[in-house]
Amino acid sequence: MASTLKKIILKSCDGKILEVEEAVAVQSQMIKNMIEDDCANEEIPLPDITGEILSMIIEYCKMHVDGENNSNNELIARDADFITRVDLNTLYYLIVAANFLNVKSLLDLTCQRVADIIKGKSPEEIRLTFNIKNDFTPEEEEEIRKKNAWAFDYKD
Amino acid sequence: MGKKSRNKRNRLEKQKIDSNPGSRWSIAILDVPKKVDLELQRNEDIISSMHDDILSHVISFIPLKSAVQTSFLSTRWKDVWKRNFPERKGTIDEAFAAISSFLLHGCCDPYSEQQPTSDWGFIFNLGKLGFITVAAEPDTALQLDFSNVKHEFPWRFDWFLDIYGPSYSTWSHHEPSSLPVNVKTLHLKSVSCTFSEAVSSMMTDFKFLESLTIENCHGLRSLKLDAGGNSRLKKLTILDCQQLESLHLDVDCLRSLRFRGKLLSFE
Repeated sequence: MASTLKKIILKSCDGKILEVEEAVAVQSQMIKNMIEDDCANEEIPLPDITGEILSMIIEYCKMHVDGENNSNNELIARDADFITRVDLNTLYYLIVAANFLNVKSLLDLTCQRVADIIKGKSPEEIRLTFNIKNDFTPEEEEEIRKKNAWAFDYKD
Repeated sequence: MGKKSRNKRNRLEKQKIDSNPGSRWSIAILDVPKKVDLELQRNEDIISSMHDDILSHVISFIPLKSAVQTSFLSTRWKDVWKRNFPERKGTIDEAFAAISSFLLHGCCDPYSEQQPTSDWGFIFNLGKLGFITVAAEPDTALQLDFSNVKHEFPWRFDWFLDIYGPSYSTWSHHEPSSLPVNVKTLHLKSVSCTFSEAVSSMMTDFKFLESLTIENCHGLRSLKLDAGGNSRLKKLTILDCQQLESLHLDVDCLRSLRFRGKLLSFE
């Protein structure tokens, strides 16, 4: 190998093998723990994470390692650029993967993105966006309305 | 998983990474990947299948009003919004200190270095007595829910609430510990005899209160509400206080009064 830097080898659930520089891989707390426990010398299989999602996560982590010396605002702008390119389905897989790999900043970014989508929408609009089925009986719905009326008692 | 189509954008993304030789990353594709289905069925509810912790994390990023609204979505979402409230333990006095601290500092324990997991609520565990749920939107709404506190005696009580408005003379005479708190909407649920006094004294700091709701207060026999002078209280709602016999209001600028339940005397 040309580089003397230590590489971590990750294997996605669809069999894709990705070599990742250690400095980038340790953005994942899970992988960091594995390296510290000396369990990262062989390829690390990642069930439930596809090669495509893994590549995106690696892109994100690399962006953060490379951008260490950048201003905070610049990183925020890059994060925003990264996350707005992602569609809902991909966002879902990113959240699950970020949670599994324990990449906290990415988990925050992706969850914040979902929160931004939810924010300002009526329950019906949220249901439509995420295909959530309303399984309340009219009585249950009324009960919840009563219980939570206090939160709607003020103007924004 | 039926569809075989792949996300084109992701592929482009990857090519960009792959074709960047100067990068500190090298991605070597040593295996021919199987095609993976990234596209879900059109009508599949992906978000509701996520783990509770993730959903609560998502909700922690939205304002209280939207967060509470998520409870209307489906049975899956009903209680998710309050699932991640941090929990504190202590006595009743400590509970009220925590509430004040939460309103002033946005955190139920100003000495804790731990970040609050949720910005708008916490649970205060009173041990054998049960727990209080506190939910607040900074500078707007506050809900104190005592319905999970055990009421060992069905004590009946008379409650006197004094609501002051903002006035510079009262501010300057106040001890520094009690700052005026900017709560406009207050919802008190299931306040019992044990907590009524503490709630009354806490409310003297709510100088901007515009709307007050008192709900399901077991044992409440009479309520005297004094909101004269500069008080901004415009709206009063009293719901389902089964033992309430008399209501005495001394209010200057109240515009709306809603009452549900039976009442014997009203002044």
